[in-house]
Amino acid sequence: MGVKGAPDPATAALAREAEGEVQKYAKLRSIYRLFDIQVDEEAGFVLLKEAGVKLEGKHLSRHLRDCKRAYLIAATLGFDMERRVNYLMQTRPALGVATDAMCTSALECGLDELCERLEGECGSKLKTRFSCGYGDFPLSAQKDMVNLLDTGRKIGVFLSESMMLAPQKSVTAVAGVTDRAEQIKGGCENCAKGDCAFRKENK
Amino acid sequence: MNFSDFIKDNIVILDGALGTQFQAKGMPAGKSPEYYNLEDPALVEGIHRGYIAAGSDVIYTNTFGANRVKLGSSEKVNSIVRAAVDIAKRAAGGKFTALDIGPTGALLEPLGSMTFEQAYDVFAEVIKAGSGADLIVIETMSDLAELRAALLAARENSSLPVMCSMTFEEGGRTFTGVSAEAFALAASPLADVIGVNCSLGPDKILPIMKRIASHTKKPLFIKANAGLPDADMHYSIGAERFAELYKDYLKMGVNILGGCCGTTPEYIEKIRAMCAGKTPKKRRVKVPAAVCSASQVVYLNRVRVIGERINPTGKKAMKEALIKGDMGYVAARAIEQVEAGADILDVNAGVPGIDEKATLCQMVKRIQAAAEAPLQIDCGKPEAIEAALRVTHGKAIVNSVNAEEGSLNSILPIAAKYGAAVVGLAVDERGIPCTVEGRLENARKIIRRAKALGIPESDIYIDCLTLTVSAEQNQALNTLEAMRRIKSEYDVHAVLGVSNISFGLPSRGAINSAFLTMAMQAGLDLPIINPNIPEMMTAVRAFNVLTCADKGCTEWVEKYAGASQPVAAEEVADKDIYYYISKGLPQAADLTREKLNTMQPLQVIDELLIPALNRVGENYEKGVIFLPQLISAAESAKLCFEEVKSRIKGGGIGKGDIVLATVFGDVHDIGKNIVKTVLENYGYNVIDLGKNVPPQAVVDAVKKGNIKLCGLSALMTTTVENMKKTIELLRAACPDCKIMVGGAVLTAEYARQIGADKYCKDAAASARYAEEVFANI
Repeated sequence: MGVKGAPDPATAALAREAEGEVQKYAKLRSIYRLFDIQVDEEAGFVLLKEAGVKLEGKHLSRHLRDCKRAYLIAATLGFDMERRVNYLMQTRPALGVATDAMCTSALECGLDELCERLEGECGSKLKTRFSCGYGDFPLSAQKDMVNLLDTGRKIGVFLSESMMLAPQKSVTAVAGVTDRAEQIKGGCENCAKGDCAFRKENK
Repeated sequence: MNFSDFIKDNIVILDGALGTQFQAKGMPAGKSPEYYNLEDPALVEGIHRGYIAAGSDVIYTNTFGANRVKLGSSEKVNSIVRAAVDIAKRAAGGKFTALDIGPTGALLEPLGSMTFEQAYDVFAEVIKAGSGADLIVIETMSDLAELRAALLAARENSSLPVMCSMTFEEGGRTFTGVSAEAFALAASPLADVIGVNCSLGPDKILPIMKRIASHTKKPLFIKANAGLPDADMHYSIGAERFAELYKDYLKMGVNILGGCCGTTPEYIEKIRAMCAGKTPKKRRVKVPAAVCSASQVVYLNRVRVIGERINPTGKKAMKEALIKGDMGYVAARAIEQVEAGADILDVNAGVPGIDEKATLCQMVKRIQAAAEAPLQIDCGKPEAIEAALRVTHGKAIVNSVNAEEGSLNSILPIAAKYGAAVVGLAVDERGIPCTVEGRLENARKIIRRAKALGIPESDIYIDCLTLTVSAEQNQALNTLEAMRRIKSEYDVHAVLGVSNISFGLPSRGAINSAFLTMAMQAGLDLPIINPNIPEMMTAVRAFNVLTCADKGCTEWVEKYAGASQPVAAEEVADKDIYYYISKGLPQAADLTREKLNTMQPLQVIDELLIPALNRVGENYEKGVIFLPQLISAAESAKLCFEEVKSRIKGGGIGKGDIVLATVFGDVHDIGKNIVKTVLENYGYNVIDLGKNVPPQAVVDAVKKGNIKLCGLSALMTTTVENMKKTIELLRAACPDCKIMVGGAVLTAEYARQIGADKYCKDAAASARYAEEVFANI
């Protein structure tokens, strides 16, 4: 919501109300699949072996350079949440924008929890999730992600011709499985997209 | 024997999963199995033969994803579908072949960006290519809009029987929110057989199937998954138990059985064996009277309110909105009425000189995106009614037919085709009969003719017509008596526009609510009223209490027991308008009213409200306040502007019209909506074209309103391309319109490249730019 520092009481109350909305209307659904991968950093792609699908992008291949396996992940908060946000935007816009922001955060938390679970499942660490649109990982790769995970049938996530996911609060991502003890850092400081509006300021 | 006859007296066995079989034979992940129809027809034929050998009466062609959206071209669709049908027919050996149609994978408006018409064309192409099959099956749908597009494409491009099924989650709703009941009500009129596929195992689907079964008279089918898969894609329910679970389905009269994900020929064999010697159980169902949207069913088991406000007749603002194409205004009226208690929304586009058909469709689409209430299409033109019913997702009401031959012959067949309920006006070419008997005769004629076309009595809503009591005082009781009698003769429902009763009298509200109460007592099921008038809704709610429809007076108490007030705002003395606006407090309006006693309205705007809003905007930019506070401030400023408007003759502040749109292909409109809220509260009149707006539609709106400022939003790089196209068209057609743009991926530089006049990084910047543009005009 753009809040920097501690919010005033009214904003804090609004955030609590938004949280209630998310708890009531969001239904987190996720799907994932583990692939053996081959990374070609030089050519700039990651090959999902069983599928014969190449995910293009120098940044992605650098990010996954020491991985042999990677999870494809998709998650969504569902259409009920989307309809509720639309409704609030018409009836109580302030709560609407707060809830919209809360959704984004809830979805990220849900994905964090999922990744923790997957770490338990595969017995290794996972790298930071990497999504279409990060660096030079093209939006068009959404099509393969959605197709390979069968998201329409499994969790109700659909892709438009312009590569947008519906519901709007949905995410697809690649999470590399790493055997190295220390994790390569993700986050803004390692992203090449310097013109991003959401880039966190350097402290 | 044809399929429709075959299913009447037989238990019919469908096939099992195709995908599971392909995977078992080594298909790589992510491959479209439809290509095997061309690359390896023997493989496909072998799988079909396996199911025929296991006992299937019907096999589905290998065409689930064979559509233009997934395969990329019409040529591919054509060759792949034709090949698939040939293969299936070769394998079938006289058994039935079903042309299998799955979802496109893209999503229709309003949730996605594909239009109904585009989806229709995609499906029509498949259906034409697959004309050699014995029947059509549309399956695994989760969006009612897409299902209806496929069903209509099947109905209108083929004479084959049509089965259709959706995939549900455990609570009995699809991913997009379609309830089992809404599916049954909306799909039954267009399909020959309806059912459930995929979803879950047979055990978990059973309660969902029961809900569907109680809402349709059509034959039913089930094609469940073999339970749930584990991480290695092993399914939880084995063949033996799967077949065992289907016994419950036979008991409830589901006589068409097959398998979806995870099932194999073994499952089909077991089902065949389980069914040996059994015959189908006849179903007897009384479908409850109801209408629905995709997600909401409204049962006519108590008084239901039809909101009348989306109608330009006698409403200047609505008329102007329709002329300008301001569907945002229409959507706001929809939400307002639902909030006030309307169950169903009447939609009327009757402005002389406008394209009623196109406008009505736009209104329906936009209202469905904003509100979940079912709709009543209020129009006398058959062509416009049909166009609107096509894009209405659920089961609607057609308002109306009358007892004239022309009306009966043109409108009833449309209602019958789409399965809509219909309002029958008890009037004919001679006008409104002044006797009870005259009205009854007209009503009976309508009922007879509607039933002959298969419209059940419970879907016929008779309107016995309200006349103005000041002109014809004795007619009020005649209306009520006619209503009472027609309901005692038939199982029909009664609908009535109420407000006309008091025309020309003082204190109209009292007459209206008294008449409404009398009418409800006489059997009125569906009052058409303005739900924003508290007395009217109070009368309805009180009636529900007194007739036990509101059990335990729960709703009444909830509504009127004085819901807890929000914590009182801190008491402050001598605060200025800026203080109240910046805190988002409604007291801003009180203070505005006070100021208007000593200041001119425009002076209040220029000297108090705009500077206050500017200060709020500056604080937002500095990060002193945040987005929700900016929006709250805008909301409270809106109340102030309304106060000012009430003092200005004609109500217009006249700061100027601004067109806003989220560009074609883009459905992320939250940013645009924020800008709209803020601009409106600066006193501009915003014509909100919504999201996914084609470039030409933006140009049309700008031209029509002679607009000087147009704002466009786009979220992603993929849709900025459409923003550029829109700007190009605008420049050519409307050179003196300024264009401001915004959205997550845009920058000032990018905005310049695509030819915009101004990049606005947020709503406050948009408001500032608007001030600049309109100051120079």
